[in-house]
Amino acid sequence: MKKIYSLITLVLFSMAFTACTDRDDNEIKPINNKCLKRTQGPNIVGNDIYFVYAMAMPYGSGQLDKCTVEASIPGADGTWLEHNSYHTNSSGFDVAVPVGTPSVTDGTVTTVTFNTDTCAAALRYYYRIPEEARGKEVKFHFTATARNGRTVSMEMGPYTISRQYMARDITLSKSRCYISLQDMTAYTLEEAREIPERIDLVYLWRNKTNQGVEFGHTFAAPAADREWLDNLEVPESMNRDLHIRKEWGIIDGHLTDEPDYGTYIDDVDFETIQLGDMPDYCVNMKEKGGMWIETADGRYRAFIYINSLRATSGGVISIKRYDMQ
Amino acid sequence: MKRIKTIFNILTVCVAFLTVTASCYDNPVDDDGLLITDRDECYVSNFDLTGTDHLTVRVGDAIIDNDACTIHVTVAYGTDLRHLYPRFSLVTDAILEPKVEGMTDFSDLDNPRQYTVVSGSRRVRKTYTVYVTVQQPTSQS
Repeated sequence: MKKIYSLITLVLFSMAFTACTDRDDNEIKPINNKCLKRTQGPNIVGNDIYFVYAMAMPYGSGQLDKCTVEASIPGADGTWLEHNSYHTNSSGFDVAVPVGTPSVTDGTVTTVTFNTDTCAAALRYYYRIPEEARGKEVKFHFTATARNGRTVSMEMGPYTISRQYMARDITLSKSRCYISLQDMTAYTLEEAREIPERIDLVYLWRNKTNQGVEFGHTFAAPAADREWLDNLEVPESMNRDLHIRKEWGIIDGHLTDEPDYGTYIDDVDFETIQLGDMPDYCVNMKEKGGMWIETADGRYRAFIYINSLRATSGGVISIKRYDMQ
Repeated sequence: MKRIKTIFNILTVCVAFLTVTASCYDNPVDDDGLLITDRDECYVSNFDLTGTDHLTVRVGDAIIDNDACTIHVTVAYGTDLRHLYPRFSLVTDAILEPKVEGMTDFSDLDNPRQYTVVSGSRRVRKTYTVYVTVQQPTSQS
């Protein structure tokens, strides 16, 4: 019995020591790096993917020379690597400390060259998603180089770029009430007459409380029953139809400036939602509500978020659109 | 000492067995795992209809007649009757048949939907008819 206990103790000790030698988290390397992706949600063309890339060498072993980021697809204008490193002050605010020259982007590679003697820095990288990346995957190669020639690098990604189109803060009014999903904007009647085949939705506001009902802010297809267009002028050539599903509580982080909304409408939501038997109008919409939309020809699905509404006619909406064909 | 231990073990097993079997007999459950109790009360205490946005479309209170087994509810102008979630509040332990499993079509106003409330004892059943009226604008004076 005693022998068995001794054997177990020996085995446990061996395991403990072996486990310790396998861990190398605290190993001091000549130069080290870490990277965090800060943006959440689907990666939308025109938006940024934001990273923080940290690089460091043991104090006294040398200084950083340059930092480069190579994207697999060149970023759009607005892609840059910040030449500031940050620390957080006692009040919790980030304080910028310039450590290099402003970044230079050459094709797929963005570089910051350090002009201060520093052995550690955390630089922020903003990749503006270009149109050519839509529906593709993009990955990033971060590299830090020291003045003694040592380098370290790491890969981030691949990240899928969403197929969604997005337009923020489209103003609606009594006259600017003809909405095109194709163009992601709202037109006046005069403008809409020129492009009736591109008008998918109309907006109107009516006060019918004296008739005992709430009509308020209403959205309807140009082809909807006249009851829901309520004398709004819709030329005969404007005859597109669609399906609308009224929503409340879907607050997409891309479509609102309100803080702390970590929820997003992703491509899969557009791909899976069933809207085929929904009506072609919705009445009495409220601020911060929304609508899922599918055009009757099946070409587009969209989500319209109502950022704000006036007490009378007018408001601001934002749109995410997904092309189905 | 060994004998006492043996007796203790046998007693423990017996008590455990009795607890399990007694609990089964005292608390019968139906196919959905819901308790079948001895309550014979069978009625709807509240009713609501919500739209695809999960907000109520009801205008005013639903009128529930537990003697006639009818529910009359008026919904807002413009409500899409094909996509509504009925929400019943029932007396304790009662269940609803058919179950509400998603959006329900109430658009056939000539053939109003019917739901049966079954008491906790499962002995009493009452079938309610839900009459939906859509609010219409009155003519302007």
